[in-house]
Amino acid sequence: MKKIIPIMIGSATGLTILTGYFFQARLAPVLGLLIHWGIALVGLAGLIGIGYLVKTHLTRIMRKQKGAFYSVVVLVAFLFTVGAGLILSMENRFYRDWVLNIQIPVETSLLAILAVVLLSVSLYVIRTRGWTPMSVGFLVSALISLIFNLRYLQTQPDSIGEEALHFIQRLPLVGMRGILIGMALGGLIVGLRVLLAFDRPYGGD
Amino acid sequence: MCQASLAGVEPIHLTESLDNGQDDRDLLPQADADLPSLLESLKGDDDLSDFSAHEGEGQPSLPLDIEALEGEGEGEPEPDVPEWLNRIRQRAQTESDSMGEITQKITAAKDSLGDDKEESQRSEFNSLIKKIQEVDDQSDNDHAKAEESNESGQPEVTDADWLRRIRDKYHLSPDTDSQESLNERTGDSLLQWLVSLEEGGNQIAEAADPSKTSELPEDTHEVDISPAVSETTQEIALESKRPSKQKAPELSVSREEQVGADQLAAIIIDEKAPRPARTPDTGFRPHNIRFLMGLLLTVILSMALFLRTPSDSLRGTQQPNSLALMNWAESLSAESNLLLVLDYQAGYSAEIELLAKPILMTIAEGTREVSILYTSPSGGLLFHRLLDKAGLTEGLGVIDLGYYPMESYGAYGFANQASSKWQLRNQPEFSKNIPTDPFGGILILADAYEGGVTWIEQFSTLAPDTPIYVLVTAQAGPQLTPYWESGQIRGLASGMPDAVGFDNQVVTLPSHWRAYQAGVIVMIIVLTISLLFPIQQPQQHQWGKR
Amino acid sequence: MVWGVVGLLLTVMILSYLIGDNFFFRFAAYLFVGVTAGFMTVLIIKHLVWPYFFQPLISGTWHDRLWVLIPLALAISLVVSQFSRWSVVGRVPLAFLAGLTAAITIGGAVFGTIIPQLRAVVEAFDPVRWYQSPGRPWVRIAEALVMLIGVVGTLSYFHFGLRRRQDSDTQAPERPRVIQTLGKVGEVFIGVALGAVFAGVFSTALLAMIDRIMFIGQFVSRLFGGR
Repeated sequence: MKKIIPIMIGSATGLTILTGYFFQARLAPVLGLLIHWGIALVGLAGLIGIGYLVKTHLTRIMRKQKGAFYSVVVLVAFLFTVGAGLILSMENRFYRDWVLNIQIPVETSLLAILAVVLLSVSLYVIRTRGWTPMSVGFLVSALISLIFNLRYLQTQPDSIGEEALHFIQRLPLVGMRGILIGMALGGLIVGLRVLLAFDRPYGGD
Repeated sequence: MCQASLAGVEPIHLTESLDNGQDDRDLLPQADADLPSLLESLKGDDDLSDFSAHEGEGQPSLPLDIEALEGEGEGEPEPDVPEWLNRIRQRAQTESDSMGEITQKITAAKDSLGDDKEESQRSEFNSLIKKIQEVDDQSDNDHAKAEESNESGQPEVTDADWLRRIRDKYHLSPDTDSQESLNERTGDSLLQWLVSLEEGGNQIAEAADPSKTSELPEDTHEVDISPAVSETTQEIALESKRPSKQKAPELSVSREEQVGADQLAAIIIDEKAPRPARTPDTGFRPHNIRFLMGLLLTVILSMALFLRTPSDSLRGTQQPNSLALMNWAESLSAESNLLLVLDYQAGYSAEIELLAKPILMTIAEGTREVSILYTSPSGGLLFHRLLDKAGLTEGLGVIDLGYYPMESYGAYGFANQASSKWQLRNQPEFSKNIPTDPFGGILILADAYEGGVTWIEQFSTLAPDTPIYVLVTAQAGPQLTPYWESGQIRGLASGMPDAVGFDNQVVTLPSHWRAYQAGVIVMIIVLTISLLFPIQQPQQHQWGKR
Repeated sequence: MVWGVVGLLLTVMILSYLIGDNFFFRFAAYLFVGVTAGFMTVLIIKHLVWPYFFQPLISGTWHDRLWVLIPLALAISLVVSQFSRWSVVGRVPLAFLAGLTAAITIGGAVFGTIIPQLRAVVEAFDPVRWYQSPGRPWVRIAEALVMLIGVVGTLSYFHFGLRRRQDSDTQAPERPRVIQTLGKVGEVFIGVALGAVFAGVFSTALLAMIDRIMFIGQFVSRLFGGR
């Protein structure tokens, strides 16, 4: 009985949402209700996750484990940001500057490191992967895409050269469409397995 | 064992005499006639009729009555051999293969295994087993000693007591028996095989405790069953029964198993072998290459960004997808309701601002109010920063519809709500501010493929009449192009080239474009080198030898 | 100016990872984690928890309070389930979320991707399109053919079904020959698509690096009273 209740709730919710794709106008209020509950619960789940993060760092500090100094940094930054946000408000200029002037430099710099890493690993693509159709297609396509990004190649309108360039530019679209359909099929199967209770990510196996 | 005396017991003639022309060769020793276990096993050898025939003649059924035999005294002729026994003897004489298929197969298997084994391996395993046996014997001896200390002097009884009594009766020496047994063992008959098995056990028992033989009385007497401890069933002493040393069973090991065992032994030896200490080689490591590449890229980009060059006009053609987006932005009226979905992280704000600034400035010329909702935590803050950079803080009205943590929930709920125009009583306040008129368009600003696709899927399904336009980073552009090709989105702009196309019309950013081109050329060179001259990736730790 | 200094220091700290993992990089990373977690906490409390759970209870009508009981019960069971003794209680809200997500995924995948994309592949063979679209018709036909073969090949590459050979029980099962051939073709197209994605990822990362270098350059020039 204990296992049946979550299964029934999950399946009923899912079937209601799916039915909403076909009877949208009639089920709109119920669907909106379910979505709002879902949004609230996901938000609460995010809060629980942050709670675990704080607990982990607190434990590391109390047990004086390796990296406790960094945990102090995390907790101090966390408490200051929460306090400032609750006291000042999120529209406050200082609060916005505090958050953005820490997030933007760090995230952008991490992306900049990614550029360097991509540059360095590009040297070893063939050696690592070998001369397979995929690796050769990958390299050639990356080269051509980058050349196109330079916008140096100019052709006369309605010329055969323009047609050829257009054809080559659309080649990645072919594989990408297949990948998108494949991913959608995979998502469909996983969703069906959850709805039909073959997979129970919420436990109860 | 029952200690019944055989005195006064009449011998029983079990079978008819040999009057059927069978020879009187007695291949079996006297003791062979006294083997109850053998007779039991041979009961099934179509001799039941003989037995039933003879039962009426007063002959006892199996097992043999030993007392009757003992009571005959010395010099009495050999009792008639049973018919079934005669037949076995005949088979032993006439058939070379009287042991039967099973024993043949056992012998053949033994021979084949013996061929495969190497002597050295056998000796090794034998030695290993002997060691185990020594341990077992040690434990057995300890156990036997413990039993001995617990025993209260009960007489030991062996299972060969009856045989011994018979031998004593007829003055047969164990040596004779053993010799005869040995002679018999050379034969191949099943009977002989079983005889040799029994003899072997009896001989070992006799050899283990020869003194006991002399202590046994010649005559046995019946003992009534009584509850007294000394007269109850007596425990058989295990130490007399167990041979001092059992022969180690031979292990059968196939070639594959032996190979595996040799490999394991080699690994164990190799692990224990002393190795010279090695120092890491401070050669070319991956992060050295990374540092050099970073330095190279930084120098080239800095030169492209800060070196003064004559201003050149930006060259670039607009692609159809980005052209459609700009045309839509230009066509918006002042009364249009526009929804902006912000789904990008702070790290991508530089690229999104490059793309979105010209579009927003174009939109601000026509539209006075936009609604925003964000699925990334810092989306709201980033949008206000974008407005600051574009100088549109005062020029554009913003309705903040709030934060939706899951793109799929927000997309489904919003698309559903937008089309149904329902407002629930328990909705949060911010979500009640949705304009009642349908949206003139939805502009999605996304940094990755997943966020954009979710909104495209839900809106194209639930609100197909609402036009969707997408501004994404260069990494998501190729993955969303199929949706533009299929007509699900009306316009798509991604990456620096499309930003330059917009910029050509509105603002100028030559330095960024120059630096971008320089960086792309560096990558093109690296990829070409990789294609033409495949290079081995250095390992994380290069250990050198001393 | 202050924020400029903060941004410059953090940028240099993170970029120092190119030399190797060090204290400054870790300090900047952990600071970022703390600030982001704190900001998310404030955002969730102000935009979700307060308006969805507490505001109706405090200032709503009895009808609003009644409606909020169900999500409140789900939320409480989600919180209580974090204690190992009561973990079973959390299955109900998780099942609700799982059903919700699965259904939206199914609907989006089927109606939002599979059907429109397959329709686009089929519609490319529409003769009206060949002559109405700008360009040469034979190029359109070639594009349609390549699209069909490429999409089928890409899907075949991900086909992992094996068929046991009927004529031999000893040989291992393998994919049908047609699928194998199409899979090889699909492998090329997948490589081509991923190469374009790689170029896009590098472009994005390059723009981020350009932005950082530009920021450092502009700050230094402002600092020394330059341009």
